[in-house]
Amino acid sequence: MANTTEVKGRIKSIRDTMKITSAMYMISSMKLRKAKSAVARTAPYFFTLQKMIARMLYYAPDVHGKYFSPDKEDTNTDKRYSYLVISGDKGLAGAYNLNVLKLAQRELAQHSNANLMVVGEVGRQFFVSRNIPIDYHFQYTAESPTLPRARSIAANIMELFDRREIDEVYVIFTKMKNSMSSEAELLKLLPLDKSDYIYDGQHEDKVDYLNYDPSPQVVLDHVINDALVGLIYGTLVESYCSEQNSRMIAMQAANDSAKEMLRTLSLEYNRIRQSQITQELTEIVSGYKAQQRKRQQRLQQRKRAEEKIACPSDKGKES
Amino acid sequence: MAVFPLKVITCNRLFFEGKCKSLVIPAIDGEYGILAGHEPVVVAVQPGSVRIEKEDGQRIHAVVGMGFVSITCDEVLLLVDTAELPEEIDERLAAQVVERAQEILLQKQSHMEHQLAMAAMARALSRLQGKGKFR
Repeated sequence: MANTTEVKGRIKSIRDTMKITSAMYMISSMKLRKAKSAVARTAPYFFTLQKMIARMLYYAPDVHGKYFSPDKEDTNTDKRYSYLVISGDKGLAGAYNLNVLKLAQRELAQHSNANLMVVGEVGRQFFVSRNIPIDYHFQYTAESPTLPRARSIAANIMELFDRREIDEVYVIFTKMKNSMSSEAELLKLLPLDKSDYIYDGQHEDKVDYLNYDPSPQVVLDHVINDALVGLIYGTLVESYCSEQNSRMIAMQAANDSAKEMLRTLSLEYNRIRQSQITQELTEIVSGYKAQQRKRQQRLQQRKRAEEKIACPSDKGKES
Repeated sequence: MAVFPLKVITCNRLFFEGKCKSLVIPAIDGEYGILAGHEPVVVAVQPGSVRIEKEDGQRIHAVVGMGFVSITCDEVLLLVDTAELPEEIDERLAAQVVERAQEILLQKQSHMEHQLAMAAMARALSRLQGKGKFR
């Protein structure tokens, strides 16, 4: 059985680790709240934008921007795919990074000539260690996504798309299904699918035409960039929220198991202490008993000796 | 004078919501004025200054970024990436942005960097202009 100092040391180290994990839990929950409020502030803009694009497409269905996929089935099989992978900067977030990277790897295996863009340090390390070339790594981190960041990512993608270096752009991110679970997902960024923009508010307009100044093409191209920024920003924030969420859950689990460990360890510590006390007591008692027996023996011996001495003198006096 | 409901939405807030008499926006080929009863139209908006005349005659000047305005029978919606009141504009920051954009343009960077710098400069210049005009 281990001695008390050893168990005490383990209890202390677990307590220290628990301090860290519970601090990380609190930090994650704070970051999550901040990110969520940022989303709430930007949601109306991007939601309205999406609706407006749908409306423009509804009134001008014959617009063929280069950013929209062709109406008829595309027969070109030799397409250049591009993937924007959004991972985290740090581990300790459960399977968050793993899920995203596994999905990315599966997609990359299907399209050998794919172009790869990575957000986040963990993702970068992952692909570098597997000798998968990263075409573009966004130097900044996945931490606290902002609109300017989304804008520069969108500008990068637009640039490649405009030069026809890539034909289809997908983003691999983590979608939050609810506050408990999230899932890695693949989302098509470009070209936009007209079927994704279905307008259902024509009865509110009370018109059957819509004019454009200067032309539908120009207006659409004008807002497509912003729509893309909105989409990218949305995925960045959603990933960030899921990262914080998974970290919260992971840290909560760590806290719980630390508590459980502390409970069993303190039980063990008490048992060891108790058994030590018992042993000491037994030792003292048995020692005392042994001493007592010895003393009694000595006393009896002395008594007998005294009797022996006394008896002859008695005899002597009498004689 | 007839009024119409106007909503100005930017990417991080609802900038303005309410009735107004007139709205002037910077379109691609010059300023575009809107009064009540305008035909339904969608107009692309460039970085520049916007003037709103409210129901009570009060005027609001604002500097906006890229976006568009959508006019329907019952409301006017101005959707832009940024909108600021002149007093909210940080003149020094805008001047710095212009300076940096000029430096980037001088260095003959890639097409994308050129575009980004041009866009940043357009935004910053319109801010500076807006600040100077309505002080």
